[in-house]
Amino acid sequence: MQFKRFDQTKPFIVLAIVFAAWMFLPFAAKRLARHAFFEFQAPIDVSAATIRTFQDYWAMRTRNPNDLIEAGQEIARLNSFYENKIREAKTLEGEIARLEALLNLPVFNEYRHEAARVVRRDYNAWWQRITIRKGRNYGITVGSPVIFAGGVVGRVSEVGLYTSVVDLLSSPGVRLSAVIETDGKHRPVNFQGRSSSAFSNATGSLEFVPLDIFIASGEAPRVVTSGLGGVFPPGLSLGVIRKLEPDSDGLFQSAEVSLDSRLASLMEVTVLVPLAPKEPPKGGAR
Amino acid sequence: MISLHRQPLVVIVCGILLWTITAQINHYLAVWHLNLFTGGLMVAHAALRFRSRVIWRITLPLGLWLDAASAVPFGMHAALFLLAGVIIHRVRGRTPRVDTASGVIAAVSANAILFVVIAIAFAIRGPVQTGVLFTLLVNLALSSAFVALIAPWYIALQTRALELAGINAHMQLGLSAHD
Repeated sequence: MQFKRFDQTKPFIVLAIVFAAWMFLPFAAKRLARHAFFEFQAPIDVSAATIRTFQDYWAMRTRNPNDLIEAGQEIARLNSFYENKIREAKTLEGEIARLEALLNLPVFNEYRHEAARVVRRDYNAWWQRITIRKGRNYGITVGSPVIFAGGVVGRVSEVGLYTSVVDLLSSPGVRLSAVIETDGKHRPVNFQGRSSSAFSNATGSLEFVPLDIFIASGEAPRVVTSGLGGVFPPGLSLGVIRKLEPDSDGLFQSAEVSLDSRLASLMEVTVLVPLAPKEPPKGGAR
Repeated sequence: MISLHRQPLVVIVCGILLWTITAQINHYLAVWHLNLFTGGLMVAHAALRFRSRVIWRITLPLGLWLDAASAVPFGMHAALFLLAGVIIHRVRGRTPRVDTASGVIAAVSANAILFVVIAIAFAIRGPVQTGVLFTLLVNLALSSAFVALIAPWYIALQTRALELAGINAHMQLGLSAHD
């Protein structure tokens, strides 16, 4: 009778021993195992993304040639516009560098722009992340900021040989320093991602919002990166304030930030790979 | 003896195929912030049919595979899959386990329980924000419907794959009879 009872509980005892052994397993061994499994998944993700690209290609082949001609003309117009903007940006960059050297201001990190295609999106109640088709083979490092046409996407959290995982701005674990742009002034705040409800837009939250910030009708204040902390360059768009609520202490407010709706359907992003910092110019101000 | 090694390998490959399909569907569902979970389906069929050692050999790698693809502490899915496997293995003697219908019921039940346990584990770890409960309920309903829909196909796929690998249904159940 006792033997039968032991036989019934044996699998659970073995399971408890395995759990205990797992808890005492060195962190390095777990990390190695995780990386090994991650690298095995990379070819599957990349192959699936390649098949999707082919599907899109063949879907486009069915389009009317007139549509393609119109799209080509539109792209030519945009190219011309952006070429002009690039020239303007280069002139302004030169001017900023000259003023920074003149005033002996700290220089912000410089980045290499690495465009990458999204191979997998994984958004659930607890995390929102994407997998991109570039990894260590393109020099991507953990913590690199990721941006797109609408502003900040998030931060690289895991890097494999051929793929990387990016934690989205809306992921609850993502926190960064931001500023509210209002009346030409920059008010520093803390930004944190928050889980999005199904069928709704991605959101974030702000802490320590000053009491004199309010939402004027039809003009929601914009939230951008502050550049403090050294990860994200300053001035990148995060979203707009949608709701303000006073904190329980009455000294500050909390805000809900509406993020760009395109975050849910990302296909192409740009990773800002930090370059080695330059030596500051000797001799101080010129 | 050979089938003891071949059996887990075939089922693991089928599990990876299921994960790939689910990941592709989740890629498109991300637009609506929805997500499917099919972990229960990976465990249930194996736990209903095979002997305990084979169940361990299947659930541990599949759990670790899911762990590497998610933002969870490494080993969480593996531990839950092992626990689910052991529990289903203990209770399977009291329920019909060979027919597809019982496999579907076991898969949907195991999937829902695993989904709820993972949600509770996350809720304990950090503050739960407004709207999460609604998202969880929608995801649970969608996942259950999806598992119920594809479970017959997945069970048939595993059975056929095992047959192609030289392990017929009789041999599968024959192995479990020694348990």
